[in-house]
Amino acid sequence: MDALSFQGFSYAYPGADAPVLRAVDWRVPAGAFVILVGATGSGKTTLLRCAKPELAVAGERSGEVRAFGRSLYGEGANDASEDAEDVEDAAAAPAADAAREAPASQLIGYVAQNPETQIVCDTVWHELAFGLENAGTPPALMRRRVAEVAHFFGIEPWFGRETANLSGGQKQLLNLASALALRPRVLLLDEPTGQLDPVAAKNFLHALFRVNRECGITVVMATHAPESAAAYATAAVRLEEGRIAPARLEEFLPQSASGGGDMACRGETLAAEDATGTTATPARGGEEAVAHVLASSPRAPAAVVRSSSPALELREVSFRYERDLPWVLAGMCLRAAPGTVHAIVGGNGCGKSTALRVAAGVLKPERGRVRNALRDAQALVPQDPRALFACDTVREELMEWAGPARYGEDEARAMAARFGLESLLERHPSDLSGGQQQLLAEAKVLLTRPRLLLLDEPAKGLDAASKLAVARSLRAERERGATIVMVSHDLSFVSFVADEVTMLFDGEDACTEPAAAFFEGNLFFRPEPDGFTRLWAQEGAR
Amino acid sequence: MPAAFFAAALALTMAAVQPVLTVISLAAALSCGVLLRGWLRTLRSLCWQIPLVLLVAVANPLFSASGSTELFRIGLRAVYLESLCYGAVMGLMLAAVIAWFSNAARVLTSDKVMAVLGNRLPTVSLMVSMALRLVPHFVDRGREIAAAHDACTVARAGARDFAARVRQTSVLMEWSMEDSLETADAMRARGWQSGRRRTRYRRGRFTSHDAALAALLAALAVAAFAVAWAAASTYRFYPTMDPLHWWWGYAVYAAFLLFPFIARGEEALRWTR
Amino acid sequence: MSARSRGGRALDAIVLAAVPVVLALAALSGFAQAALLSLAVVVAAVCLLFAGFERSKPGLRQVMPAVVLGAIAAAGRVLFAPLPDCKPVSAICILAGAVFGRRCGFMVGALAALVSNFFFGQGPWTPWQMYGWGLVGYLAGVLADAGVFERFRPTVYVYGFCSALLYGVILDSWHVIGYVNPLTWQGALLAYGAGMPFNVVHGVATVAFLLVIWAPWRRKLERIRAKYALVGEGQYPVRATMRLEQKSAGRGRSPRC
Repeated sequence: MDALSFQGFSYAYPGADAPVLRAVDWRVPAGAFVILVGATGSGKTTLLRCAKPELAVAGERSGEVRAFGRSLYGEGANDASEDAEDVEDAAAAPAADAAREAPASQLIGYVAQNPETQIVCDTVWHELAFGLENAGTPPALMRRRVAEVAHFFGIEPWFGRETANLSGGQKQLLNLASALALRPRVLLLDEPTGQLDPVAAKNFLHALFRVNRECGITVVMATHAPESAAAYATAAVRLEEGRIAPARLEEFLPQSASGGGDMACRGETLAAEDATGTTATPARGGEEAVAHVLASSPRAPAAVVRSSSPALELREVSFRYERDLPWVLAGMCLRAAPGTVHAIVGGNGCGKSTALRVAAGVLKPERGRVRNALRDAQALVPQDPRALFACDTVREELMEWAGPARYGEDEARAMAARFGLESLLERHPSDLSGGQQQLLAEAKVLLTRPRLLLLDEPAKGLDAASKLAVARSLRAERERGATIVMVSHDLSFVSFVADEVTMLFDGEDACTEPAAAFFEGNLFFRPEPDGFTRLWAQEGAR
Repeated sequence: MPAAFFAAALALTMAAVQPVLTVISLAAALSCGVLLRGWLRTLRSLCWQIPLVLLVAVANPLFSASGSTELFRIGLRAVYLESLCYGAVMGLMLAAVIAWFSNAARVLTSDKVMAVLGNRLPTVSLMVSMALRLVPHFVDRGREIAAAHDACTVARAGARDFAARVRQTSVLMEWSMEDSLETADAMRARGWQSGRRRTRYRRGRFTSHDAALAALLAALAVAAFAVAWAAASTYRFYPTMDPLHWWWGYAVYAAFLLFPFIARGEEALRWTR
Repeated sequence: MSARSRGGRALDAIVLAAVPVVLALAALSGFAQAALLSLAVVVAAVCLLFAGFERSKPGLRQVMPAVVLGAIAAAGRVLFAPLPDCKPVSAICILAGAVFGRRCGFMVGALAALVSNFFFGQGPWTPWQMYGWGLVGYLAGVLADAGVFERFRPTVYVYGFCSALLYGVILDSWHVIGYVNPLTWQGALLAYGAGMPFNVVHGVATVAFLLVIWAPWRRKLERIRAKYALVGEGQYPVRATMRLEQKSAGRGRSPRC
């Protein structure tokens, strides 16, 4: 039996001319682990939400969605939008009726992207019980379900903690566990690892894998980074022009020695054709291809990097947030030469973002010195781009700093085009996707032509094409003479864009090396081939 | 049960306006404070409570001139001993009430409050719990926004005046409201207002040990209320203050207010051998 | 609007109005247990209003904005704590009442007071602050419903200033009625007068906040309100439950709410 089936399902937003989903026919067999890919804005989220009626947005719907043969919308899916207008009555409506049969929608669990916003309660135990409380589960049964799910995910050690003090990875795991406490038979996930660091993302995917194989729960996961999940999946589909098309899972798997996928070939070609004349060595796998591209990407000349007067210098800087809290930075050093891209990498919570804020002069170090020659011409893109948005349209947002930074409407338009935002100018910044918001924040900051650009996770939540646009812009900024210091988890992005890389560990700079040398010497800290490396290689080849 | 105890203690403290009972209540509140919050915090809170007591004590004779024993005059207003004493008792009572409140806030963590409210007011108690979680989060986020704006010196976005700060608050508002839409989705996805009657998950059962303590507490509470009523309804400040005598009722009153010690006493005996 | 929700509104208004009436009576009659009585009255009033909110079966579009605005007001109180009497709470309550209705205005005020006191220290003043700020938000909702703010914008600022004074008087009453005995007219006036400078500062700060945030926040909040309406109270479950509601309407609920 199919766990989920769409039959001729179409959907259009209220007032939109063209539907987002056009007669989708899609069947997900029970027990499958399906990856759903598609470009930003292709309607992946809409599709998933339509399979969870509680989350369906007002709009034109037609066709049928079934879960295990039971219709999710019942009669009158089309006239449902009338109810939205009866605000007063709708608010007073939900009446208790325990005798009613459990609706088909309870067969479906849903986990969204942002770990933070999905948490409702203030303690872990209450969060786990929240859905069960809503369903009116008897206390004895509730106790058992909570115990079971907490045990399955190993939540017991932090069962009594406050949700506010959990790490991002723990939060997302808790969201998964809370959804599973309700015993769904299908689990829908919308980019669940988009906001997690690589280690937490792998943990999460592994947990998801166990849910699928050990508990037999069908999993459908929309993602921008199918490479990391491909090993666990049983099938992949692509959403294109409002329709579901099958995709090959092998496409996303790391190439095996015999597979010799297109990635390796391209890397080889690139290396061979590269103007710097690197000798082509036989490429056997994706990683080696990365190495080739790495060696061949244009870098700032070594002489510039070692220039005697750095644009930004942190000398033995120590910092902590409060007196009785541990040191975040302890004797950290950093030298960023003018006109170079300097990347800071490191594990979660190693103080990367703090280091950036200290460099910007927003936080004052307790010990040590920060010398920033470009203090008055700097700009920072924070970890969450929304911290920079204050206006009501993308256009206003881009023009907000036009006065002090002296640029005009034309430059703003050109910048929007560079980042693929030109069709979104009249949209509200909050209505953009996470990736688009990231691009908007970077566009907004780049418009001010800062001489020192500080970036916190510039590639977060971006699909391969957008990452490429960002990488290109950063390169262009460097050519213009700007100094760039960025903090990132995304090693493949760093490996191509940065000139120098500093690894931050235990509050100190564990090492600083030119990018190519840095990644050569690492066992774990290595870029993995993904969609971005492929695009970058193509770009280089052109 | 702790909630009931603190409610009773507060009611007793405020109802029994009588010098001895008030002093007992303050002493009990402070010693419970030492038990629950430690010496340092209790002493620190006492530091600002003493001026408060004095303020209330001085304020009463200034605002209301009555009594029979005139102490001195300020301009045309006479200051009477009775009035001053009433003020002092009121000040002590206020200090006791505050101390009981801070003890209660220490013991009644949000999930205990939720447990009390949860049955009657499930939505409101959930709102309190959510808001409690959000406040520190918003304070951090507010600082993050301010830091981001301050760092963009090239756009001169970090002007440190009032308007700029308020503008940053509106960034915080919009961001948080958008997030709340996602939270609302997460609640809906997990069956919030599915139309069924909500049940409640409780950590820990009500054991026979709890029941025994509750019975003891209830008995003491009844006795303490009787004592308070007997003592406070007959006591007069004006025109002259009634004299004070030793009375066994005071011991009952004190026993009730020191109940946290009784509850902890058994543990202490077991573990201090 | 159903008869039930109208009844609920009337009850809310009566409860809110009952508090000052009872307090005035207690003050005039020289009731000995004024401290306990006044606290009990104000706690009861806040609880009754909470119960009214609960019984109205609020949807997420009523619950979530109140929670977020309440938490922002509390966070604002923490962030602006270095400036004494410069609290954004009143201004945020007024906006909440004006955009999301009187009940939301009350909830924002009450939540902000309760939650922020977990950081500033709970005390007997907590219920008074909950009532005070709740009333500020509630009255803003009433005025907005009457279209006062729409017709003439400056009334917002006038109301902002007056509401801060109202809040100040309510909090002073806590001390005056409960802790001054016997209470005389001169004494009461003296006590209220002593608090007036602080109230005026608070009023000016509220007007300043309103001047900066009124227009942009209202626009943003209205957009959010529209977005909540779009997601609806679950398009699909509501239909099913509405039919049940119609069936059970005959059976009726307690006539009071």
